[in-house]
Amino acid sequence: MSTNISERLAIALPGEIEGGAGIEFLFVEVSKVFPSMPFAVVHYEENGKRAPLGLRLDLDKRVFLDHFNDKAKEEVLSRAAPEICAFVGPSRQGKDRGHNLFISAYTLPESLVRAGAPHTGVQRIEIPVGVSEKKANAASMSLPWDSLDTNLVKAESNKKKKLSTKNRARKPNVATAIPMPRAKRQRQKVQSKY
Amino acid sequence: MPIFYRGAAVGTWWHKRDARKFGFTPNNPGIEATSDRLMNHIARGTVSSPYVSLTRSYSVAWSYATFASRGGLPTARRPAYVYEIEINNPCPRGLELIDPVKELGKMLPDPLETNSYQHDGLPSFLLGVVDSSMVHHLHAPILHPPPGGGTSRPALLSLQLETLIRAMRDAEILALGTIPTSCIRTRYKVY
Repeated sequence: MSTNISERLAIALPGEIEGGAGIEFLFVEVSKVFPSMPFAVVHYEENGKRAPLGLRLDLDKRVFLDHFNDKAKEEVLSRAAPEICAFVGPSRQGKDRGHNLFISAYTLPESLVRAGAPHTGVQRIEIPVGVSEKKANAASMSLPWDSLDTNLVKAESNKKKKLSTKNRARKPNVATAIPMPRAKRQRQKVQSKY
Repeated sequence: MPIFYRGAAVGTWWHKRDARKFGFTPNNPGIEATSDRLMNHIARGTVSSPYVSLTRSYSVAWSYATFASRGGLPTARRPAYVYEIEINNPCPRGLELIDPVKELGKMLPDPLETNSYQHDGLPSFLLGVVDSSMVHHLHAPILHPPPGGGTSRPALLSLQLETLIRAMRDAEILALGTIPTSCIRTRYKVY
């Protein structure tokens, strides 16, 4: 069993949110991995028939992003949107546990690749459910993305060094102290890989 | 050469219609672009709009594509998409890019005017605007100066302030007009 970054939690709506104009709300899906994500999908029945596509709901704006041409149905959506948001609210207060998955879940934008950054391709790490936070962090630490961050920090600190006057007494700087021997090793590993 | 992104969740219009072939067109290109329409487009999600929403953040586009897919989860077989759009300066003919924050800034009321776009609540009021799971901050009654009293009410939230917050959340840039296919560089599969 593995965790998918887009995994969702379904919350039943019948009896909680009133429908109308032929619409009955069935359940709302929110992100299980990122509870704070402001998007949900509301599934519904239209005239007793389950609609194949759900309606996107922006939980912060408290509006549906999909609409009906029918005015009466639109009114039902306008009324129900803040009610569903309030109903879903408590389930959004959980801790996001997807940041480790997030790092590797998508392809780097081409702009970064052009700038010389290492490309993660479509690499996808799935962390089994139940793996401790520590282990999950360790899994993500070996990703090229981390080395990219380290490289960027180092490039930034080099820039700062150049800008500072030569004769000025050097003070220990937390930002420039970040690249560690371990980071160097990582960078060498990445360079040899790409 | 700035790069913008747009997420296309499974089951949405731009998922079915490949923008690399057709470009991005607004829902209602003929409608007049006004400040009210701009605010309603961003804060209220109004569909009938002359704008196309873009973002400077790949992460935002990715989130829209991944978490707002209508017909089930995006999968390797049926992925959602993130379009990458590169628009050079000057813009292609008939296209205008609008930074909603700058645009709104121009029309915000003067500090000397009685009506302000700013809220009159507690410092935590904005938390309730930003995140609906903290909605209780929206309903906290405002404090009146001594001797206090008066009718208890929650803080005022102007459409301008709401729009500013939403635009910043999504790193949003609006395109007024059609984005031609030549500007659409690629389409990433996400799932």
